[in-house]
Amino acid sequence: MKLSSNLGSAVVEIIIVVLVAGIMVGVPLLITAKGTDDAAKLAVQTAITNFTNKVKTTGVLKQEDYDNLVLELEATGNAYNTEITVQKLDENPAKKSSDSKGSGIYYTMFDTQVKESLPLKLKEGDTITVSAIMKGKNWVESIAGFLAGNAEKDKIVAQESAMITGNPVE
Amino acid sequence: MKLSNLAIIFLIIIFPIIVVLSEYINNRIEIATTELEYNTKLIDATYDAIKAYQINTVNNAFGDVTNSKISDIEDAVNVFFNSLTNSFNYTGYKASIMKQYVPAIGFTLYDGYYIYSPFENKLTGVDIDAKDSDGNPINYDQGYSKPEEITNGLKPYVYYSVRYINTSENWDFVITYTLDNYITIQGNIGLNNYVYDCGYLYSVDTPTGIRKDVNDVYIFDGIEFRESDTEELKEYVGTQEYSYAKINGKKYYLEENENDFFDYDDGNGGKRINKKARFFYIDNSGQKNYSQIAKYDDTKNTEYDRNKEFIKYYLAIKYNKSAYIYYKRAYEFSKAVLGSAVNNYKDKAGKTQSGYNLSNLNHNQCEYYDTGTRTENLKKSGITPLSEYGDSFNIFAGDMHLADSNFNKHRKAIIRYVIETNMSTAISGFSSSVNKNLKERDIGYIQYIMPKISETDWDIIQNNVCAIAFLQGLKIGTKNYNGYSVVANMLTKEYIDENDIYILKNDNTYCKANDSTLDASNIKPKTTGNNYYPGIWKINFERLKYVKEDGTEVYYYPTGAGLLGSYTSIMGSYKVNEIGNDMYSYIHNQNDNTLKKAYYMALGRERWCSYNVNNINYELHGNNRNEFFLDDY
Repeated sequence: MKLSSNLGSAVVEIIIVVLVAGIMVGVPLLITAKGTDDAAKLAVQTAITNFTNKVKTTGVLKQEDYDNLVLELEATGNAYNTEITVQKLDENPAKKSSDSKGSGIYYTMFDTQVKESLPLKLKEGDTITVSAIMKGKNWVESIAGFLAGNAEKDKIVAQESAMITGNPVE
Repeated sequence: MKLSNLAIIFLIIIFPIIVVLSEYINNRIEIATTELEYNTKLIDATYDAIKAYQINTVNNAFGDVTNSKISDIEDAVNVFFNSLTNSFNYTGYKASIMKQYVPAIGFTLYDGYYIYSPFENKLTGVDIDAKDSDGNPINYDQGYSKPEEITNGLKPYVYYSVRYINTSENWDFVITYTLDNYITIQGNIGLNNYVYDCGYLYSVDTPTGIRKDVNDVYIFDGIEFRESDTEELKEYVGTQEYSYAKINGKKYYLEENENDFFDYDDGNGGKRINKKARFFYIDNSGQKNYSQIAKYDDTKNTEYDRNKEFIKYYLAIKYNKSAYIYYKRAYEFSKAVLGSAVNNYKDKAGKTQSGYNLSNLNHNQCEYYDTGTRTENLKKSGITPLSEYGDSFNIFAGDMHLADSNFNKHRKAIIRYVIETNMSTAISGFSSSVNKNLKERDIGYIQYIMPKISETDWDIIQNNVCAIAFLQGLKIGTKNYNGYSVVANMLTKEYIDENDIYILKNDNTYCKANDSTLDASNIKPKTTGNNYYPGIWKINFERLKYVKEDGTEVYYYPTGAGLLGSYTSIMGSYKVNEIGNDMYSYIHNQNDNTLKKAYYMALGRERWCSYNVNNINYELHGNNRNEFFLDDY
């Protein structure tokens, strides 16, 4: 009897030790990692917003600005894809419209077209949408996903849209 | 001690540290996110203000006149605050509260700027309560402001001016700069020689400047400008096309519903004048206004004053030589500035001048130039000293119309210095005024300081009409927000930018001058039916409103609805060439004289016709300042 009770208390002790070790290591790790992850997301949002605002006010999407954006995103330590969509305002239909207050239409330039056309000059009224999409998951999300059974991949972590307010200084 | 007890102690120590760190990180993230959000809201509100200003001025026949401009700017400011308040509405900020966070809004214009800023009313010595028998205030409108009250309003206009003094040369004059190569000179040049003159600056009698050939032909970049090479401009008002000329910034249209021609000898080959013609302009209400120019009086001869005026307007519309006059006057003014003036040259005050000989005027001779400790003090105050642009260079050396010229460098330095010093003073003055009486302030003490404006934004300010808005003092976490935004007005009537000339093509599209698809074969030619060179100012492609006699509103395009923007450079931009330093250099490098002629004619014509109050001397030309523009007809 004494042997079985000793064995029982040893098992409990082992379980407690494992639990405590897990808490001592795991909890600070997860919390710190979440903070790091939040800081990384902020850095991504800041980079995307600043890039979009610059294009908004200058009217030009330059290769060097795009390259700097990519470098800033990589500096967060995660892998991102950037997607840029431009909607160009065509005011000619407004002139052809019989309605005295006709409006223009937008036609879209998708990511590949945009990146092949750099430097791209935009005009007042065009719109731009810039997204940062994280490739896969970072290890925090991997653990969280594993625990929750979540198989989601490649999500948009930051996005910014703007209407161009200035025409490019030629 | 048991391991489990150790673990518990560890948790007790570590957990609070983790919680605090986590809160700190979240707080910093929230601050940064909020700052980004405020930046975007500020840019959007500033853009709304500029858009309102654009709409008001483009459609306003009197948009260039100072009173009208002030009214348009005040409307734009109202739009700014409405937009900003709406953006911040969810946090409960009211418009009156938001104004306390905006120390200044700057509107930079062609030759100076306005600051819209709260100011402390320091009126004294006036009985503000005095009323007349009807109970109306005699001296003062308390509805606008009260003494010792903080009031929002436009401060006096600040010009981009700088003084030059040189006792050995007897110089004591002021030059006012603008966003292009137009300047105004006022003051003493030489002993007892007061000068008041203005004009566009080019190098003269050089291969790259304006040259004068025999028979009064002026040559610029290989293109000849002759007095006999006139234009007849046409555009639509509603659905009908009229000949027109822009005189002193206003378009005068020619209506010829009946014909009764006579021959008139203007000394230049004789012209046909239609006595039954009428002239109108579109007034502020959007209607045709025929009141300014009297009809031809058939009972009088052509020397009768009203008939002379009639003939001048008719010739100005039918035989427009604005482009020729532009290059002629630019040549004469530049020649006077750089050395000896042409024979019988008169400045804008009507005084005969032999020339100002300012070719050696140096950057370091201006009043604002700094040396020694002054340089350090300016830098500490956050102001860029003029010495940063160079120690010594002649302002008027080389081709002054080019972007990389000494003139342009000096001009940008002056503009930046004037704006930085005055804006900084306005903001710090506001700070000390409003923080004096903290008990009455809803929002407590806030230190307002001028933020550092980026070089990209300075480039925009020095070359465009802009709005600069400051937003300071909003609480974001543990710090105060301090931001600004600069938005350029790309659709301005203030001045004619070199990049704002579009070229018409044979396929009824218009494109930018640096469109790579342009060549001599597809540029619309000047013909009898279209008797003007195919360069058009971009404002003319904007939709306008016209009100018929029956009150019906009609929206129309002055150049006609049939003219469409090209997809190569207007609606899209996939076939534009890089212009390099500036449009002048780009056009110079083209081998196509057809493009050059169209471009330079349009630039000269539009600039000569635009409104500029400095051009006009009231003593010489009276209140009808159009006489100045009609002198050559």
